[in-house]
Order: sequence, then structure tokens, then C-alpha cells
Amino acid sequence: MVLLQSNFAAVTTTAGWADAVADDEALVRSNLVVSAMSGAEAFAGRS
Amino acid sequence: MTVPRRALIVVDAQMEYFDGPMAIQHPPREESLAHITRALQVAAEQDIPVVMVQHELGEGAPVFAPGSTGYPLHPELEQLDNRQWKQVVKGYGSVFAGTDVADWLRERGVDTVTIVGYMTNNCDLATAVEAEGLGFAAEILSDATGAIHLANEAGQVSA
Repeated sequence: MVLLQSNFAAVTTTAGWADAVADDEALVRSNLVVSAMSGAEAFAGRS
Repeated sequence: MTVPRRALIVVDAQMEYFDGPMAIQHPPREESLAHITRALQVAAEQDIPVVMVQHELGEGAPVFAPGSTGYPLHPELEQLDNRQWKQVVKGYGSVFAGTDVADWLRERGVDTVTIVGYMTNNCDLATAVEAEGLGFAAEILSDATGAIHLANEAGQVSA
């Protein structure tokens, strides 16, 4: 799901999706650069 | 932001994933099935087009063979009103490969596909990846999908 959210598909739950549908809203997807920077931070100090 | 024009794509919610070597390991399969059913209910209420996909390998294949016990949709989905669904049989990982699904969606003005069903670590992923190239935005519902453990020459990864 992390991989999908980083570039290919916005990830949410069924309940979150039902709300987005009811509100005519798009879901928020991350992007590869933001996910990469967060990933570097999350794994800092680990090889 | 423009309003998404969605379609719900139910990938391979077949008995193969509920019993036997392909049984979904995570999240619990009865929970994901309940969420798939819920998503179909939302789609019906909101007039969201539904594509119901089944995977098919040849007669005598170890899995997904037509006529085998693993081939049909889960009975909980079989009992739903399917008159508005586009029902599709596919032979590759992606729902779009070798099918007319992309054209069918475009005819209906769809720009966003919501992916549910199985497996996250194969056909759902393949469908999301091909959607990018076809120009559809993709959404995936984490509790209405499921994965299996994999191990092979390259290593192993849990569901």
C-alpha cells in the first residue's frame, strides 16, 4: 500500500472512499519525491 | 479540484482466494469481502459504473480453470444484483490487458478507477500501474483488497 500510495494509486479505506464519493471529492495521493524524502528520514541510520 | 468520475473495479473476487494455496492471508479475507460488498453498495447508490472481473486460465490449469470450484465469484457477490455490472474475463494480471475495459470506461466519461479485490501484490498492482499509462487516476481501498505470502528464488515477502 505504501508503494501504491507513492505513485500509482491513492490509498484509503472503504469508509473513507464512501465519504469521498458522497462529497464528490478526489482522494489525496502522495508522490514519489515526498515519499522518498519521508522514506530517507524514516530509515536514517539504518543500512 | 475537479470532481472525479469514478468506476469501481472488482478484481478477481473468486473462490480461488478463499480456499486452497491462493487463500488471501492479509487482511482477513472475510473482512475484505465485506468491504467489497459495501463498496458495491455505495456504487449502486451513487450510480458509479461497476466492472466485475474474473481471472481465467485454461481448462485443466491448477487454478482459475473454468468449471473448477475456485473459478466462480464468491457466493456473496453472486447473489447481488449484477444487471448494471460490466462483467469481464481476463487472462493477464492487469484488468486492462487484452480487454475492452479502458474503452468502456472512456465511453462513460470515467477518469478515475477505484480498485478492490485480489491480489494487492499482483493483479491490483498491475491494474493500478496500467491505469497510469492509460490516463486514468487510480484509487485502491486497503480494507477491500488482500494479499498472499510469496516465496521463490528471489526471496520471500509476507502478505
